[in-house]
Amino acid sequence: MIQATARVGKNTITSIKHIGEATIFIFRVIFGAVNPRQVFGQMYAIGVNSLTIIVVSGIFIGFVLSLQGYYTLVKFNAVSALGPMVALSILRELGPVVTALLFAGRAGSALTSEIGLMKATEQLSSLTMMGVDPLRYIVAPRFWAGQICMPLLNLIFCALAIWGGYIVGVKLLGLYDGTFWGNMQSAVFFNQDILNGIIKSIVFGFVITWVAVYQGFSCIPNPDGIARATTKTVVYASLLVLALDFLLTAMMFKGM
Amino acid sequence: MLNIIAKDTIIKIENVDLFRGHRAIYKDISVDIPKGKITAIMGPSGAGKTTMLHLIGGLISPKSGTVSVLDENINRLSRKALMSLRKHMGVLFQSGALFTQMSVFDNVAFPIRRNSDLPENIIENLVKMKLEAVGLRGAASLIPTELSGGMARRVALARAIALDPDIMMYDEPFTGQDPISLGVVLKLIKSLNDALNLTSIVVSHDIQEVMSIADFIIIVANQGILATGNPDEIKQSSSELVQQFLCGNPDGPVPFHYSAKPFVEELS
Repeated sequence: MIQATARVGKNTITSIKHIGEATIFIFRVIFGAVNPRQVFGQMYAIGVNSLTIIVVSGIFIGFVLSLQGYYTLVKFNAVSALGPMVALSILRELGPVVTALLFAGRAGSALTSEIGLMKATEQLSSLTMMGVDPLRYIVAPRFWAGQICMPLLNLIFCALAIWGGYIVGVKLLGLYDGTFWGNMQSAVFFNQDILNGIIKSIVFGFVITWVAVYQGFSCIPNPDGIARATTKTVVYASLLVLALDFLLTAMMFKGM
Repeated sequence: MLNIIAKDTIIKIENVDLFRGHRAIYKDISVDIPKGKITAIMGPSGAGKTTMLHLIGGLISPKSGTVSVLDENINRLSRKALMSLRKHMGVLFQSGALFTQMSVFDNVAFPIRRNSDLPENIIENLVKMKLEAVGLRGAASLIPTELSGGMARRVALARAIALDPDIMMYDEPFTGQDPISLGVVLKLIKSLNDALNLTSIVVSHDIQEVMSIADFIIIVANQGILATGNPDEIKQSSSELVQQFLCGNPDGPVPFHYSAKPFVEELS
């Protein structure tokens, strides 16, 4: 019993220590100078290289959502609500959340393993010894690139998922396209739906890139340490995204 | 505790205690590293040889005691001042630590570009000079994955001397090198030290090679400094551990068997 209590205490102290370290770390990253050219370079590595998975997932999620929605709504003679259903589901929830989960798996894990490998091969120490701060030169451009790319990827995902919903609902299942787009237009509001989705994706982008760069920077510099850090990035970032999504939804869409 | 007073000291380590977690790496060690000489740090694996380089570079801080480099207490410096002081130090890391996405040329140019406002044509000439010094001017356009281990080590050396440091630190420079590459690196350490008037610190296990170029040797073991002196003094050391280390004896003060119960008691 005493041992178990001691273990809980030790784990709690370690967790608090890590949260404190990660907070100081992100403050130093955010308030340090960063070279915009490096940020653009990283946007290619993080954003453009994530496009394939975002595009393919967006289209197929739109297909499936429209298909399932149509079969359900047709039972209630309410297929005219297919457009709003697809758009609201995508813009409010599926867009930001699925993009974030894919982003954590694709870009988050890549960021962690890249920085971890730099640490293991002494590239970070080497930079430090050349008088170059690795937080500013390596971490900050990746953090800001991730922060910028995540909302853009979310918008691309949403646009393609809605288009996928249109293809299935209108072109495949025969819904009148005026009904699909017209009802969607009257049910979707920019501030309530689109803007809130973008805000969600900004928050998720912040959390994912924070977790990813911190895990890479603080990992044990050997193959096992990098593997563990990469796994932690995907698990922690995904859980945080899901938990934050619940909180944000509760705050944003109360009574709507 | 041994206290070595050397003339023209460039690095002074005084009463340093260093812990990693609860494990002591050093207990109350003091040593001076002479200016303009090649100092070798040797000792068994895990004794803290590389850790001493990290202490000197300010990558880690001791629990107590002081580390002074170029008359500056490195642990009392502001972040900016420490970054500035590090420009006077070059480090050849064990892995080479080349930036894998950059060419050989850009790797060597990197510290110059980051720490100066020199025009690109001057940088180009400087980089060619550094690469010429290590015999790799012809490899400027290659990327690190196209280099052999020995070539990568030499490129890393060219990068480390790019800012003309006062102190050059080598972490296991001979590890994994074939005899030719080893000879090249050995010659480069000696010739660069003399030609550029450097102070070189070499961490290595390769006793014969290091002894052939070192002016001063520090042997670290058992959380402290076991012996210091010139190569002849070290060879004549009366310490059993030093002799075991120099001769490579499998058994001695560092035992062959890891601590365990008597074998008879464990036989069923």
